[in-house]
Amino acid sequence: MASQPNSAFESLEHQLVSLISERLLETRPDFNADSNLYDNGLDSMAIMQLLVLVEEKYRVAIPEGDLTRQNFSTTRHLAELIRESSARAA
Amino acid sequence: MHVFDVLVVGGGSAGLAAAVSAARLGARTLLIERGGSLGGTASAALVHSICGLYRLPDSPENPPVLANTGFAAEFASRLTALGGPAGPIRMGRVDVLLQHPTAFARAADAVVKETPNLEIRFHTELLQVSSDFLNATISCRGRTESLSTRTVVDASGDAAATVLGGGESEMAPSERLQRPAFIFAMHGVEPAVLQDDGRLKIARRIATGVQSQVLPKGALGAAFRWSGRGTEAFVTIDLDAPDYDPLDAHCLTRLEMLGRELAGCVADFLQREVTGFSQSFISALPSRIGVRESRRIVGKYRLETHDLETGAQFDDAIALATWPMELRETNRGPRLRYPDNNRPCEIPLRALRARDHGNLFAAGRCIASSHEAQASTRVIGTCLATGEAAGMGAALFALNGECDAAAIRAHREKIKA
Repeated sequence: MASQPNSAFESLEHQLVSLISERLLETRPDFNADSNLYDNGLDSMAIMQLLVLVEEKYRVAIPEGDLTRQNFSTTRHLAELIRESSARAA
Repeated sequence: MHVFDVLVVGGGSAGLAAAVSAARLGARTLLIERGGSLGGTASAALVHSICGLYRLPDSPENPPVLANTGFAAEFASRLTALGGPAGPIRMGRVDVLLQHPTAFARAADAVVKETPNLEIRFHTELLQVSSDFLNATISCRGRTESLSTRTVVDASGDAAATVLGGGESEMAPSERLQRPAFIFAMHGVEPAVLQDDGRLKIARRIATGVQSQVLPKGALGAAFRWSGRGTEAFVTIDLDAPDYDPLDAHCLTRLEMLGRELAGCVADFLQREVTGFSQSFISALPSRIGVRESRRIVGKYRLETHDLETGAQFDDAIALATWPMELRETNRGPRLRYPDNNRPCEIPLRALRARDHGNLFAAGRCIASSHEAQASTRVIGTCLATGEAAGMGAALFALNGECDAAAIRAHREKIKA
Protein backbone atom coordinates (compact mmCIF):
# COMPACT_ATOMS: atom_id res chain seq x y z
CA MET A 1 0.00 0.00 0.00
CA ALA A 2 1.32 3.40 -0.92
CA SER A 3 0.03 4.82 2.38
CA GLN A 4 2.24 2.41 4.36
CA PRO A 5 5.72 2.77 2.96
CA ASN A 6 7.97 -0.12 3.80
CA SER A 7 11.68 0.65 3.65
CA ALA A 8 12.65 -2.65 2.02
CA PHE A 9 9.96 -2.22 -0.62
CA GLU A 10 10.91 1.40 -1.24
CA SER A 11 14.50 0.43 -1.78
CA LEU A 12 13.61 -2.10 -4.47
CA GLU A 13 11.67 0.59 -6.29
CA HIS A 14 14.57 3.02 -5.91
CA GLN A 15 17.02 0.46 -7.20
CA LEU A 16 14.83 -0.20 -10.22
CA VAL A 17 14.40 3.50 -10.94
CA SER A 18 18.20 3.87 -10.97
CA LEU A 19 18.72 0.72 -13.00
CA ILE A 20 16.23 1.80 -15.64
CA SER A 21 17.58 5.34 -15.85
CA GLU A 22 21.20 4.28 -16.02
CA ARG A 23 21.07 1.16 -18.13
CA LEU A 24 17.94 1.27 -20.20
CA LEU A 25 15.97 4.41 -20.90
CA GLU A 26 16.61 8.11 -21.39
CA THR A 27 14.25 9.01 -18.56
CA ARG A 28 12.76 12.42 -17.90
CA PRO A 29 14.14 14.43 -14.96
CA ASP A 30 11.03 13.79 -12.84
CA PHE A 31 11.14 10.03 -13.45
CA ASN A 32 9.98 8.03 -10.43
CA ALA A 33 8.43 4.70 -9.47
CA ASP A 34 5.02 5.78 -10.74
CA SER A 35 6.13 7.24 -14.08
CA ASN A 36 4.76 5.52 -17.14
CA LEU A 37 7.60 3.45 -18.60
CA TYR A 38 6.13 3.46 -22.11
CA ASP A 39 6.09 7.26 -22.05
CA ASN A 40 9.78 7.04 -21.20
CA GLY A 41 10.51 4.95 -24.26
CA LEU A 42 10.01 1.36 -23.12
CA ASP A 43 9.23 -0.84 -26.12
CA SER A 44 9.19 -4.60 -26.65
CA MET A 45 12.91 -4.46 -27.46
CA ALA A 46 13.68 -2.70 -24.19
CA ILE A 47 11.39 -5.01 -22.20
CA MET A 48 13.57 -7.92 -23.24
CA GLN A 49 16.64 -6.13 -21.92
CA LEU A 50 14.81 -5.17 -18.75
CA LEU A 51 13.74 -8.77 -18.15
CA VAL A 52 17.29 -10.05 -18.43
CA LEU A 53 18.64 -7.25 -16.24
CA VAL A 54 16.18 -7.79 -13.37
CA GLU A 55 16.23 -11.56 -13.57
CA GLU A 56 20.01 -11.56 -13.28
CA LYS A 57 20.12 -8.97 -10.53
CA TYR A 58 17.29 -10.33 -8.35
CA ARG A 59 17.63 -14.01 -9.28
CA VAL A 60 13.99 -14.38 -10.19
CA ALA A 61 12.21 -15.80 -13.20
CA ILE A 62 9.22 -13.82 -14.41
CA PRO A 63 6.84 -16.27 -16.06
CA GLU A 64 5.38 -15.72 -19.49
CA GLY A 65 1.88 -15.34 -18.03
CA ASP A 66 2.97 -12.26 -16.09
CA LEU A 67 4.30 -10.54 -19.20
CA THR A 68 1.61 -7.95 -19.76
CA ARG A 69 1.83 -4.31 -20.75
CA GLN A 70 0.14 -3.45 -17.47
CA ASN A 71 2.78 -5.24 -15.36
CA PHE A 72 5.52 -3.24 -17.08
CA SER A 73 3.72 0.08 -17.13
CA THR A 74 5.51 1.54 -14.09
CA THR A 75 8.51 0.72 -11.96
CA ARG A 76 6.18 0.13 -9.01
CA HIS A 77 4.28 -2.53 -10.94
CA LEU A 78 7.53 -4.14 -11.96
CA ALA A 79 8.75 -4.16 -8.35
CA GLU A 80 5.55 -5.90 -7.32
CA LEU A 81 6.12 -8.51 -10.01
CA ILE A 82 9.64 -9.14 -8.76
CA ARG A 83 8.44 -9.51 -5.18
CA GLU A 84 5.78 -12.01 -6.24
CA SER A 85 8.26 -13.98 -8.29
CA SER A 86 10.79 -14.15 -5.50
CA ALA A 87 8.10 -15.12 -2.97
CA ARG A 88 7.08 -17.96 -5.28
CA ALA A 89 10.67 -19.10 -5.59
CA ALA A 90 11.09 -19.08 -1.77
CA MET B 1 29.48 15.28 -72.19
CA HIS B 2 26.19 15.44 -70.36
CA VAL B 3 25.34 18.77 -68.79
CA PHE B 4 23.14 19.04 -65.72
CA ASP B 5 22.12 21.77 -63.32
CA VAL B 6 21.84 19.52 -60.27
CA LEU B 7 23.57 16.22 -59.52
CA VAL B 8 21.98 14.31 -56.65
CA VAL B 9 24.16 11.59 -55.19
CA GLY B 10 22.17 8.85 -53.46
CA GLY B 11 18.56 7.79 -53.98
CA GLY B 12 17.37 7.29 -50.43
CA SER B 13 14.42 9.24 -49.12
CA ALA B 14 16.47 12.46 -49.04
CA GLY B 15 17.91 12.03 -52.54
CA LEU B 16 14.51 11.14 -53.95
CA ALA B 17 12.98 14.27 -52.44
CA ALA B 18 15.92 16.41 -53.58
CA ALA B 19 15.90 15.17 -57.16
CA VAL B 20 12.14 15.47 -57.66
CA SER B 21 12.04 18.91 -56.04
CA ALA B 22 14.98 20.25 -58.08
CA ALA B 23 13.56 18.94 -61.36
CA ARG B 24 10.13 20.41 -60.61
CA LEU B 25 11.75 23.85 -60.42
CA GLY B 26 13.05 23.35 -63.96
CA ALA B 27 16.60 22.28 -63.17
CA ARG B 28 18.04 19.55 -65.39
CA THR B 29 18.61 16.95 -62.70
CA LEU B 30 20.49 13.67 -62.51
CA LEU B 31 19.98 11.28 -59.60
CA ILE B 32 22.45 8.44 -59.18
CA GLU B 33 21.84 5.46 -56.90
CA ARG B 34 24.14 2.54 -56.12
CA GLY B 35 21.26 0.04 -55.76
CA GLY B 36 18.42 -0.96 -58.01
CA SER B 37 15.62 0.94 -56.33
CA LEU B 38 14.94 4.25 -54.63
CA GLY B 39 14.22 4.59 -50.94
CA GLY B 40 17.54 3.67 -49.33
CA THR B 41 16.88 2.35 -45.85
CA ALA B 42 13.11 2.53 -46.50
CA SER B 43 13.41 -0.04 -49.28
CA ALA B 44 16.83 -1.72 -49.30
CA ALA B 45 17.17 -2.01 -45.50
CA LEU B 46 13.47 -2.85 -44.98
CA VAL B 47 12.80 0.03 -42.57
CA HIS B 48 9.03 -0.10 -42.28
CA SER B 49 8.17 2.82 -40.03
CA ILE B 50 8.46 6.43 -41.10
CA CYS B 51 9.39 8.60 -38.16
CA GLY B 52 9.55 12.38 -38.05
CA LEU B 53 6.54 12.98 -40.31
CA TYR B 54 4.44 14.41 -37.47
CA ARG B 55 4.83 16.83 -34.62
CA LEU B 56 5.05 15.46 -31.11
CA PRO B 57 1.48 15.43 -29.80
CA ASP B 58 0.86 17.77 -26.89
CA SER B 59 -1.70 15.48 -25.36
CA PRO B 60 -2.91 11.92 -25.97
CA GLU B 61 -6.22 13.24 -27.36
CA ASN B 62 -4.66 15.43 -30.05
CA PRO B 63 -4.68 13.96 -33.58
CA PRO B 64 -1.43 13.71 -35.55
CA VAL B 65 -0.25 16.94 -37.18
CA LEU B 66 2.20 16.88 -40.10
CA ALA B 67 5.58 18.39 -39.23
CA ASN B 68 6.42 19.41 -42.79
CA THR B 69 4.10 20.13 -45.68
CA GLY B 70 5.44 19.80 -49.21
CA PHE B 71 7.10 16.66 -50.50
CA ALA B 72 7.09 14.79 -47.18
CA ALA B 73 3.32 15.16 -46.94
CA GLU B 74 2.82 14.43 -50.62
CA PHE B 75 4.89 11.25 -50.50
CA ALA B 76 3.15 10.04 -47.35
CA SER B 77 -0.18 10.36 -49.22
CA ARG B 78 1.22 8.42 -52.15
CA LEU B 79 2.33 5.60 -49.83
CA THR B 80 -1.08 5.46 -48.23
CA ALA B 81 -2.75 5.40 -51.66
CA LEU B 82 -0.65 2.33 -52.60
CA GLY B 83 -2.47 0.33 -49.97
CA GLY B 84 0.24 0.43 -47.38
CA PRO B 85 -0.54 2.27 -44.18
CA ALA B 86 -4.05 3.30 -43.27
CA GLY B 87 -2.62 6.30 -41.47
CA PRO B 88 -0.36 7.22 -38.61
CA ILE B 89 -0.43 5.26 -35.37
CA ARG B 90 0.53 6.52 -31.93
CA MET B 91 3.31 4.68 -30.13
CA GLY B 92 3.66 6.12 -26.66
CA ARG B 93 4.55 9.77 -27.18
CA VAL B 94 5.13 9.70 -30.94
CA ASP B 95 3.14 9.28 -34.15
CA VAL B 96 4.59 6.95 -36.77
CA LEU B 97 3.50 6.05 -40.30
CA LEU B 98 3.93 2.32 -40.85
CA GLN B 99 4.82 1.52 -44.42
CA HIS B 100 5.88 -1.37 -46.59
CA PRO B 101 9.33 -1.21 -48.24
CA THR B 102 7.91 -2.57 -51.49
CA ALA B 103 5.35 0.24 -51.54
CA PHE B 104 8.07 2.81 -50.92
CA ALA B 105 10.12 1.61 -53.90
CA ARG B 106 7.05 1.56 -56.16
CA ALA B 107 5.80 4.97 -55.03
CA ALA B 108 9.29 6.39 -55.64
CA ASP B 109 9.34 4.95 -59.18
CA ALA B 110 5.93 6.43 -59.85
CA VAL B 111 6.84 9.93 -58.73
CA VAL B 112 10.13 10.08 -60.64
CA LYS B 113 8.47 8.76 -63.81
CA GLU B 114 6.05 11.65 -63.85
CA THR B 115 8.70 14.29 -63.12
CA PRO B 116 10.09 16.14 -66.16
CA ASN B 117 13.76 17.24 -66.27
CA LEU B 118 14.80 14.27 -64.13
CA GLU B 119 17.10 11.42 -65.14
CA ILE B 120 17.79 8.46 -62.89
CA ARG B 121 20.74 6.08 -63.07
CA PHE B 122 20.58 2.97 -60.93
CA HIS B 123 23.59 0.73 -60.31
CA THR B 124 25.69 3.87 -60.50
CA GLU B 125 28.33 5.19 -58.12
CA LEU B 126 30.06 8.54 -58.00
CA LEU B 127 33.67 7.87 -58.90
CA GLN B 128 35.16 11.36 -58.88
CA VAL B 129 34.03 14.93 -58.43
CA SER B 130 36.14 18.02 -58.98
CA SER B 131 37.00 20.24 -56.02
CA ASP B 132 34.68 22.96 -57.38
CA PHE B 133 31.88 20.37 -57.63
CA LEU B 134 31.30 21.26 -61.31
CA ASN B 135 32.58 18.11 -62.98
CA ALA B 136 31.96 14.51 -62.05
CA THR B 137 32.65 10.99 -63.21
CA ILE B 138 30.10 8.31 -62.49
CA SER B 139 30.48 4.60 -62.98
CA CYS B 140 28.24 1.64 -63.70
CA ARG B 141 29.96 -1.75 -63.54
CA GLY B 142 33.27 -0.42 -64.81
CA ARG B 143 31.79 1.80 -67.50
CA THR B 144 32.43 5.44 -66.70
CA GLU B 145 30.64 8.58 -67.78
CA SER B 146 31.73 12.20 -67.37
CA LEU B 147 29.30 15.01 -66.76
CA SER B 148 29.18 18.62 -65.75
CA THR B 149 26.83 20.14 -63.23
CA ARG B 150 26.26 23.47 -61.54
CA THR B 151 25.43 22.11 -58.11
CA VAL B 152 25.73 18.86 -56.17
CA VAL B 153 23.34 17.52 -53.52
CA ASP B 154 25.11 15.04 -51.27
CA ALA B 155 22.37 12.64 -50.25
CA SER B 156 24.76 9.72 -49.94
CA GLY B 157 24.12 9.34 -46.22
CA ASP B 158 27.86 9.13 -45.68
CA ALA B 159 28.86 12.56 -47.08
CA ALA B 160 30.62 10.51 -49.76
CA ALA B 161 30.30 13.12 -52.51
CA THR B 162 31.59 15.83 -50.19
CA VAL B 163 34.64 13.80 -49.25
CA LEU B 164 35.40 12.78 -52.86
CA GLY B 165 35.51 16.47 -53.82
CA GLY B 166 37.78 17.34 -50.92
CA GLY B 167 35.06 18.92 -48.78
CA GLU B 168 35.12 18.77 -45.00
CA SER B 169 33.22 16.25 -42.94
CA GLU B 170 33.13 14.97 -39.40
CA MET B 171 32.13 11.75 -37.69
CA ALA B 172 31.56 10.66 -34.09
CA PRO B 173 34.07 8.19 -32.60
CA SER B 174 33.29 4.54 -33.22
CA GLU B 175 31.98 3.77 -29.73
CA ARG B 176 29.40 6.57 -29.91
CA LEU B 177 28.04 5.93 -33.41
CA GLN B 178 24.43 4.79 -33.45
CA ARG B 179 24.41 1.04 -33.93
CA PRO B 180 23.07 -0.27 -37.25
CA ALA B 181 19.81 -2.19 -37.63
CA PHE B 182 19.31 -5.52 -39.36
CA ILE B 183 15.73 -5.99 -40.53
CA PHE B 184 14.33 -9.11 -42.15
CA ALA B 185 10.88 -10.39 -43.05
CA MET B 186 9.24 -13.65 -42.03
CA HIS B 187 6.24 -15.33 -43.58
CA GLY B 188 3.77 -17.75 -42.04
CA VAL B 189 3.51 -15.88 -38.73
CA GLU B 190 0.05 -15.93 -37.18
CA PRO B 191 -0.81 -12.22 -36.90
CA ALA B 192 -2.58 -12.76 -33.57
CA VAL B 193 0.70 -13.55 -31.78
CA LEU B 194 2.04 -10.09 -32.73
CA GLN B 195 -0.83 -8.19 -31.11
CA ASP B 196 -0.79 -6.44 -27.72
CA ASP B 197 0.77 -8.65 -25.07
CA GLY B 198 1.73 -11.23 -27.69
CA ARG B 199 4.93 -9.39 -28.50
CA LEU B 200 5.85 -9.40 -24.82
CA LYS B 201 5.42 -13.18 -24.73
CA ILE B 202 7.77 -13.45 -27.69
CA ALA B 203 10.18 -11.16 -25.86
CA ARG B 204 10.00 -13.53 -22.87
CA ARG B 205 10.77 -16.56 -25.02
CA ILE B 206 13.72 -14.90 -26.70
CA ALA B 207 15.10 -13.65 -23.38
CA THR B 208 14.87 -17.21 -22.05
CA GLY B 209 16.54 -18.49 -25.20
CA VAL B 210 19.44 -16.10 -24.65
CA GLN B 211 19.66 -16.85 -20.92
CA SER B 212 19.85 -20.56 -21.62
CA GLN B 213 22.37 -19.95 -24.41
CA VAL B 214 20.15 -21.55 -27.03
CA LEU B 215 20.21 -18.17 -28.77
CA PRO B 216 23.26 -15.91 -29.17
CA LYS B 217 23.34 -12.73 -27.08
CA GLY B 218 22.93 -10.64 -30.21
CA ALA B 219 19.35 -11.89 -30.54
CA LEU B 220 18.32 -10.06 -27.40
CA GLY B 221 16.24 -7.09 -28.40
CA ALA B 222 14.77 -8.59 -31.56
CA ALA B 223 11.58 -6.60 -32.18
CA PHE B 224 8.56 -7.86 -34.11
CA ARG B 225 5.91 -6.09 -36.07
CA TRP B 226 3.16 -7.35 -38.34
CA SER B 227 3.84 -5.96 -41.82
CA GLY B 228 0.14 -5.28 -42.42
CA ARG B 229 0.04 -7.95 -45.11
CA GLY B 230 -1.11 -11.56 -44.67
CA THR B 231 1.13 -13.55 -42.35
CA GLU B 232 4.21 -11.39 -42.89
CA ALA B 233 6.16 -9.90 -40.00
CA PHE B 234 9.26 -7.73 -39.83
CA VAL B 235 11.96 -8.49 -37.30
CA THR B 236 14.45 -5.80 -36.29
CA ILE B 237 17.72 -6.50 -34.52
CA ASP B 238 20.23 -3.82 -33.60
CA LEU B 239 23.68 -5.20 -34.28
CA ASP B 240 26.33 -5.20 -31.61
CA ALA B 241 29.35 -3.88 -33.41
CA PRO B 242 32.68 -3.61 -31.62
CA ASP B 243 35.13 -1.38 -33.53
CA TYR B 244 32.18 -0.27 -35.63
CA ASP B 245 33.15 1.65 -38.76
CA PRO B 246 30.29 2.21 -41.22
CA LEU B 247 32.81 3.32 -43.86
CA ASP B 248 34.96 0.21 -43.72
CA ALA B 249 34.19 -2.64 -46.11
CA HIS B 250 35.61 -5.24 -43.71
CA CYS B 251 33.34 -4.05 -40.93
CA LEU B 252 30.28 -3.81 -43.17
CA THR B 253 30.92 -7.28 -44.53
CA ARG B 254 31.21 -8.74 -41.04
CA LEU B 255 27.95 -7.06 -39.98
CA GLU B 256 25.99 -8.14 -43.05
CA MET B 257 26.97 -11.74 -42.32
CA LEU B 258 26.34 -11.37 -38.60
CA GLY B 259 22.85 -10.03 -39.33
CA ARG B 260 21.99 -12.96 -41.55
CA GLU B 261 23.37 -15.42 -39.03
CA LEU B 262 21.29 -13.90 -36.23
CA ALA B 263 18.22 -13.86 -38.46
CA GLY B 264 18.69 -17.58 -39.06
CA CYS B 265 19.11 -18.34 -35.35
CA VAL B 266 16.05 -16.31 -34.35
CA ALA B 267 13.85 -17.70 -37.14
CA ASP B 268 14.82 -21.32 -36.35
CA PHE B 269 14.21 -20.78 -32.65
CA LEU B 270 10.79 -19.24 -33.22
CA GLN B 271 9.74 -21.90 -35.69
CA ARG B 272 10.77 -24.63 -33.28
CA GLU B 273 9.65 -23.25 -29.96
CA VAL B 274 7.15 -20.43 -30.15
CA THR B 275 3.41 -20.65 -30.66
CA GLY B 276 2.24 -19.00 -33.86
CA PHE B 277 5.57 -19.51 -35.65
CA SER B 278 5.46 -23.22 -36.47
CA GLN B 279 4.79 -22.55 -40.17
CA SER B 280 7.08 -19.53 -40.40
CA PHE B 281 10.23 -18.94 -42.41
CA ILE B 282 12.50 -16.08 -43.46
CA SER B 283 10.98 -14.59 -46.60
CA ALA B 284 13.21 -11.57 -47.21
CA LEU B 285 16.64 -10.40 -46.15
CA PRO B 286 17.66 -6.77 -46.52
CA SER B 287 19.90 -5.71 -49.41
CA ARG B 288 22.02 -4.06 -46.77
CA ILE B 289 22.15 -3.28 -43.07
CA GLY B 290 20.46 -0.10 -41.92
CA VAL B 291 23.29 2.29 -41.12
CA ARG B 292 21.98 5.04 -38.86
CA GLU B 293 24.97 7.33 -38.61
CA SER B 294 28.30 7.95 -40.29
CA ARG B 295 29.90 11.13 -41.67
CA ARG B 296 28.22 14.53 -41.64
CA ILE B 297 29.24 17.54 -43.71
CA VAL B 298 30.79 20.61 -42.16
CA GLY B 299 28.17 23.22 -42.95
CA LYS B 300 27.66 26.95 -42.70
CA TYR B 301 25.83 26.15 -39.46
CA ARG B 302 25.98 23.02 -37.29
CA LEU B 303 22.66 22.01 -35.79
CA GLU B 304 23.52 21.51 -32.12
CA THR B 305 22.17 19.25 -29.41
CA HIS B 306 20.97 22.31 -27.51
CA ASP B 307 18.97 23.43 -30.57
CA LEU B 308 17.07 20.16 -30.54
CA GLU B 309 16.57 20.22 -26.78
CA THR B 310 15.08 23.69 -26.78
CA GLY B 311 13.31 23.77 -30.14
CA ALA B 312 15.53 26.45 -31.70
CA GLN B 313 14.23 28.85 -34.34
CA PHE B 314 16.15 30.31 -37.26
CA ASP B 315 15.52 33.06 -39.81
CA ASP B 316 16.57 30.68 -42.56
CA ALA B 317 14.46 27.72 -41.38
CA ILE B 318 13.55 25.28 -44.15
CA ALA B 319 12.16 22.28 -42.24
CA LEU B 320 11.14 21.08 -38.80
CA ALA B 321 12.84 18.29 -36.89
CA THR B 322 10.26 16.73 -34.59
CA TRP B 323 11.56 13.27 -33.76
CA PRO B 324 13.12 12.92 -30.29
CA MET B 325 16.86 12.33 -30.28
CA GLU B 326 16.87 8.54 -30.57
CA LEU B 327 20.16 7.36 -29.18
CA ARG B 328 21.23 3.84 -30.01
CA GLU B 329 24.87 3.89 -28.98
CA THR B 330 24.48 0.33 -27.69
CA ASN B 331 22.34 -2.49 -29.03
CA ARG B 332 20.30 -2.51 -25.82
CA GLY B 333 17.42 -0.55 -27.31
CA PRO B 334 16.80 3.12 -27.95
CA ARG B 335 17.10 5.95 -25.47
CA LEU B 336 14.72 8.70 -26.54
CA ARG B 337 15.57 12.25 -25.49
CA TYR B 338 12.60 14.59 -25.90
CA PRO B 339 12.77 18.37 -26.34
CA ASP B 340 11.45 20.81 -23.77
CA ASN B 341 7.66 21.04 -24.08
CA ASN B 342 7.75 18.80 -27.18
CA ARG B 343 8.88 21.79 -29.24
CA PRO B 344 9.92 21.13 -32.83
CA CYS B 345 13.37 22.37 -33.84
CA GLU B 346 13.78 24.39 -36.99
CA ILE B 347 16.51 23.28 -39.38
CA PRO B 348 18.30 26.23 -41.00
CA LEU B 349 19.24 26.19 -44.68
CA ARG B 350 22.84 26.81 -43.58
CA ALA B 351 22.98 23.28 -42.09
CA LEU B 352 22.33 21.95 -45.61
CA ARG B 353 25.07 24.01 -47.23
CA ALA B 354 28.76 23.14 -47.18
CA ARG B 355 30.84 25.69 -45.32
CA ASP B 356 33.41 26.09 -48.07
CA HIS B 357 31.47 25.38 -51.28
CA GLY B 358 28.55 27.55 -52.39
CA ASN B 359 27.24 24.95 -54.85
CA LEU B 360 27.39 21.93 -52.52
CA PHE B 361 24.29 20.97 -50.55
CA ALA B 362 23.64 18.08 -48.18
CA ALA B 363 20.38 16.29 -47.44
CA GLY B 364 19.26 13.51 -45.14
CA ARG B 365 21.40 12.02 -42.43
CA CYS B 366 24.63 13.76 -43.44
CA ILE B 367 23.49 17.38 -42.95
CA ALA B 368 25.66 19.47 -40.60
CA SER B 369 24.69 18.51 -37.07
CA SER B 370 26.02 17.25 -33.79
CA HIS B 371 25.99 13.53 -33.06
CA GLU B 372 22.90 13.86 -30.84
CA ALA B 373 21.07 16.26 -33.18
CA GLN B 374 21.63 13.76 -36.00
CA ALA B 375 19.84 11.16 -33.86
CA SER B 376 16.71 13.23 -34.54
CA THR B 377 17.29 14.55 -38.06
CA ARG B 378 18.32 11.18 -39.55
CA VAL B 379 14.76 9.75 -39.60
CA ILE B 380 12.97 9.28 -42.92
CA GLY B 381 10.26 11.91 -42.42
CA THR B 382 12.87 14.57 -41.74
CA CYS B 383 15.10 13.30 -44.57
CA LEU B 384 12.21 13.82 -47.01
CA ALA B 385 11.97 17.43 -45.81
CA THR B 386 15.69 18.25 -45.83
CA GLY B 387 15.96 16.50 -49.19
CA GLU B 388 13.23 18.68 -50.64
CA ALA B 389 14.86 21.84 -49.30
CA ALA B 390 18.32 20.86 -50.53
CA GLY B 391 16.94 20.03 -53.98
CA MET B 392 15.09 23.30 -54.23
CA GLY B 393 18.08 25.22 -52.90
CA ALA B 394 20.41 23.55 -55.40
CA ALA B 395 18.01 24.22 -58.28
CA LEU B 396 17.58 27.88 -57.35
CA PHE B 397 21.34 28.28 -56.98
CA ALA B 398 21.96 26.60 -60.34
CA LEU B 399 19.33 28.68 -62.15
CA ASN B 400 19.73 32.06 -60.40
CA GLY B 401 23.16 31.92 -58.80
CA GLU B 402 21.62 32.32 -55.36
CA CYS B 403 19.08 30.72 -53.09
CA ASP B 404 17.41 31.66 -49.86
CA ALA B 405 15.17 29.99 -47.34
CA ALA B 406 12.21 32.27 -48.00
CA ALA B 407 12.11 31.20 -51.66
CA ILE B 408 12.31 27.53 -50.65
CA ARG B 409 9.48 27.94 -48.15
CA ALA B 410 7.37 29.71 -50.79
CA HIS B 411 7.87 26.89 -53.30
CA ARG B 412 7.01 24.27 -50.67
CA GLU B 413 3.74 26.02 -49.92
CA LYS B 414 2.64 25.40 -53.52
CA ILE B 415 2.81 21.61 -53.16
CA LYS B 416 -0.44 19.89 -52.32
CA ALA B 417 -0.35 16.61 -50.48
